[in-house]
Amino acid sequence: MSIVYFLFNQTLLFAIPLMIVALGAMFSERGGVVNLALEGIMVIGAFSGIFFMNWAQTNQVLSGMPLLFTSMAIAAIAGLLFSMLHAFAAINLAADQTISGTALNILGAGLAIFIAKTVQDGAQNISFTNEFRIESIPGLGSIPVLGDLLFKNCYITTFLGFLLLAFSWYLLMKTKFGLHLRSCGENPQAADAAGISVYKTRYAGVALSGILAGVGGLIYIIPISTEFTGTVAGYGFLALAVMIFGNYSPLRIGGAAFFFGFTKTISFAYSSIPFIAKLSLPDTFYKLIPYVATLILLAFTSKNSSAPRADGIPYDKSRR
Amino acid sequence: MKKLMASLLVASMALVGCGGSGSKAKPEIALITDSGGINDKSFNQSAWEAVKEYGEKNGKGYKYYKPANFDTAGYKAQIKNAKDNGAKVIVLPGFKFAAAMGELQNDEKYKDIHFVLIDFQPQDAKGNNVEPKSNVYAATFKEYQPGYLAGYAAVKDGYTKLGFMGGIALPAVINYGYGYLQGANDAAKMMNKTVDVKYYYTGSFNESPEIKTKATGWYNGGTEVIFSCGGQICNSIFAAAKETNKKVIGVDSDQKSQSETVITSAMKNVKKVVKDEIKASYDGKFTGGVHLLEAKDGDVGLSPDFSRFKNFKKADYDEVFKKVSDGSIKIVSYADVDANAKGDPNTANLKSVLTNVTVDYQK
Repeated sequence: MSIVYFLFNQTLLFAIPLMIVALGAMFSERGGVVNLALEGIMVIGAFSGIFFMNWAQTNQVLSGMPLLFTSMAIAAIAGLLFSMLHAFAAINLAADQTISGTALNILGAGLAIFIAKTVQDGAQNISFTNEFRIESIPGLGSIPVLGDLLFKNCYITTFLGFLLLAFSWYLLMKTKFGLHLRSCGENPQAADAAGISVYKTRYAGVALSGILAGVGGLIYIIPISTEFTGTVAGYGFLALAVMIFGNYSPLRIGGAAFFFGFTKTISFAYSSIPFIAKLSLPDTFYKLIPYVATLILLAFTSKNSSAPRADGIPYDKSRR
Repeated sequence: MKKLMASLLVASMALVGCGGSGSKAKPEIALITDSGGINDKSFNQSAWEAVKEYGEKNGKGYKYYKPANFDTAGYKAQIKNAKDNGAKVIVLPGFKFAAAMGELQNDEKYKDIHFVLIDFQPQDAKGNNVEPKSNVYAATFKEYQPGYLAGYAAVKDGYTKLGFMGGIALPAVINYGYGYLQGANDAAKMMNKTVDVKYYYTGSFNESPEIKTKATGWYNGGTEVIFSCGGQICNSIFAAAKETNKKVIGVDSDQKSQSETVITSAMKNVKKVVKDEIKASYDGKFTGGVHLLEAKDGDVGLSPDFSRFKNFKKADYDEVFKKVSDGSIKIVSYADVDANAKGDPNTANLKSVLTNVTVDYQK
């Protein structure tokens, strides 16, 4: 049974940051702005969050959960500000969104390293102490099965991830703002005619994506390392793939992230799963699993795929 | 606003390719970093500390340069940059400079500059090693010696389920791994038991969730200590070890301050070499060529602190260190096996030596 807990635990490690960032991407794209800058925003978010964490830990200003939440807030703000560059280029300047996103990815990676080196006298890596892992939540941890699955050896960010999923679903599907956002992504001219400010709504969509991607970057780095080296290893792009795989809808994105996280776990932890390890196939074969499985699933589900119709097209009032 | 953004972008690009200097004097001592940067807690950092210490002590200007692109063109550009700024000694840590150096050492313009190469020798365009010129000091290490000592110490200390995670299967990494297996084997033979070693190359030198999952998987499956041998993959292995309460063996420099899970580190004394060679350059005693550095001269070994071992003592270390350094223990290295093995630990020459070790190679 412990192997199940282990696999689930590792799945969360991949799935939660991917899901949060993919949800962010969803808000941007459902509003009609393609956001390729996720990778760059994640880097900036992780950088700002870890930078603050490093400062707070060396000066012993904050610790434990308050520190985690403050760092996340800082990552969110940094992500938000950074994403505004993309919003400005994509919405006001009607720039090619692919290019502006790519530019931000380059800028994000360079900026994080540049600031780190300037402030830290030439040192690029920012170290931090991971004091946020929860051994076992009192009470909840002793529930049979569920306690072992969710409430032992866990991070508060896992629950935050689930909360964000529920919140995103509610916001996009059940509120007026969600409806406005979706209409701006499908038919901005009609939305405008109905009295919705397309610019403002799209800005809000990109802002949400900046906040979530910034937080996602921080959540990505905390459990897997002891320092931030200026990269999130392509997870921004993976999140984009998860969002498309999740068909631009919150609950499916959640499912896609977990599916992808689980296959990713299998592909790297196969040696501790007895019956899979016995197959003794080459390592490369296992590494292929998440991608091949995703391709197969996509082949069956892509018929119902529905990208927002005005996704990636700058809104031009004069074109009706 | 458009113009402002554009100029900001341009400015940020222009800034990426610069470095930092330590004093106002003309930077005579230069270090070009590879992708690791000067606080990678490994080569770049050790080399930079040496450069800085020598420069400060002797009032020489020093500076490091970080290439904008980590390819041969990017490295060459920074080496030229260093020369134009008046460098007399240039330190190049890491194998990635091999092709750039192979080209530049034939360039007349560079013949008056002393180069200190760490861990590689110049290569021609086809990737074959070439002899360094008289102004080029190429330091290479017998990594299998500290690797051997690490494996030996771990098994002697009572660990029987070991792991090896290398970065990319390069000669230096492979040598660490081969030495580690043989050290573990010899200790196991002496203690009359058998040892299991899981063996893996991650294919990168950076931390990632994948590496952490792999390491956590091993630890949960019973592995007690992993030899982390590849730059910053250690970050993920430290995180995994901390979560599972297991141990790590560090590499290249003393990593004990980075994580309490580190029991010892298999070290190359990069700092000493760089310092010695800068000094030699200023004293007029610089000799070019390939120098294979080894335990005999104290250039490789385990970190000097033994407090994190349970049973393995300094006396045990001194005993085995002596045998390794005087050559009475023969260690099979990368050079001794079929070059096509690409780091495979189950290659014939090696396998015949490993009597008490079962290697699970996860290719």
